[in-house]
Amino acid sequence: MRLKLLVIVVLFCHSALTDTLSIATASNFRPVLEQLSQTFSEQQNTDGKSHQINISSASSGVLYAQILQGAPFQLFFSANQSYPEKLVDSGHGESETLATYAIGKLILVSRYDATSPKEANPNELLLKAKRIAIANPRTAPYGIAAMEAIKSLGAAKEAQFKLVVGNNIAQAWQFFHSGNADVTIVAASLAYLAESAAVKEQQQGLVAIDLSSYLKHPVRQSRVAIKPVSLLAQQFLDFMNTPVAEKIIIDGGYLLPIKGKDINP
Amino acid sequence: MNLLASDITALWLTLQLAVVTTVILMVIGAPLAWWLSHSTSRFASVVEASVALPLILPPTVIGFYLLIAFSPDNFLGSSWLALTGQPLAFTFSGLVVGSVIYSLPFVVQPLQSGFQHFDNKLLEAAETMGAGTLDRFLNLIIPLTKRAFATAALLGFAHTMGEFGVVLMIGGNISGETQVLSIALYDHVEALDYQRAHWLAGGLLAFSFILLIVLYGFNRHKTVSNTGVKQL
Repeated sequence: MRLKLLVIVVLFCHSALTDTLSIATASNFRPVLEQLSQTFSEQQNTDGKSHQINISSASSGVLYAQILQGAPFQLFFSANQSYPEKLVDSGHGESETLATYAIGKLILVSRYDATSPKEANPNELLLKAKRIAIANPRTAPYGIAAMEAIKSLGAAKEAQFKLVVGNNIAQAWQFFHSGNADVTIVAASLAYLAESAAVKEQQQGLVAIDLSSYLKHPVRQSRVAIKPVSLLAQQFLDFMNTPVAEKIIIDGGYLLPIKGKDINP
Repeated sequence: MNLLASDITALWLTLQLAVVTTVILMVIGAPLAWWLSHSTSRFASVVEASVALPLILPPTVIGFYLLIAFSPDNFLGSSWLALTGQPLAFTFSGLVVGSVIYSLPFVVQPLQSGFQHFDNKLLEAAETMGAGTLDRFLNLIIPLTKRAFATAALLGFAHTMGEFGVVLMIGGNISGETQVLSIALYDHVEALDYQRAHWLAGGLLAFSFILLIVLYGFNRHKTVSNTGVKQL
């Protein structure tokens, strides 16, 4: 009996003393979110407040389904706009917190060789490629974007039988990195990350071409707070609008939405 | 309706993969299991451990290394490319290689335990009567250990039918080439198409259950009749 009481007291104290913020994020934004939460925590600590931030990453669809099933997340950073919008419609998300937080840049990466100089055009690279690795267009926003870019480059027919589909952009990148695909189309945020690792490994140079201008529908990534919105969650969202946070997002390989114009009704 | 067609393609592909893999595994698994069940060499435990590894390793480990091995930059990938003109990654052949490794213990282990109970005096007797190696294998070992062969084949087949992790890592999700049932199911779930997912998941569950009932029913029947023979 005494033990039970002790356990209850300890649990209560723990939850009372440290505020916890649980964030669900699409895998592509995780590295940036980790930096954001670290900077946020440092700022809060200097104000004498302590808390814990837990980040869970998966594909947006999986996280969306988990939230519908009652997963205890307070913030949801999706890789698209529709899942956060659907969560507002279903009453899980707080409509006032719905906003686009970043616009993904799509890039094509190819191995550098003498026949493909830096100014090589993406169409040529697609035609020359034996295998083109992309994320699954059925489930991943960057897969949809990659298909759109391939189409507007006019290479859809040729690329059709060369496509290999990863479960997400990270797997598409792995297909490329392991040498099994010669071209990949992924989010710049991922390639930024992997490129710096590649430089560390002193690997051969890569050609990276920004395909964002070939997209009629850029990858707009939206977020929403799950009801009830805690004070900590609101503070984190406010922090996202500060110049420090915006710089972290840009450095992570994203564009910022134009304020006030980011949500289309 | 488009999706339904792709599900049937996935089913057909999965059956092909399971059949091809099982045939290859029976051909290489039988001699390997025989050697393992009779060898006294210290090296045999290393081989035995290697055969059992896929039971313990996460399929992602196998898939991760296979993808690296399949790369045209590496020995396996480049030799295969030179021999066949086709890469191994993202092809049916690559899936067969992965499945053979992944299902190897499910075929070798039942065969090995079947062979261990085999009476070697019978073989010696056949040899003195002039039966060659192949003759002894086909007309003595196989008929007397057919239960082990049936178990090995069914388990190898069923395990390959349900393969997921390895294919996810090396397949590239290409319809008609590498998109097997378990991958199609995963795709449906990720796309929140739960109705399609239910069909495939329920189908795989029922199939595996029926296969195991057949297997255990067969074994039970044989065990009972065998003991009956001994009692006579």
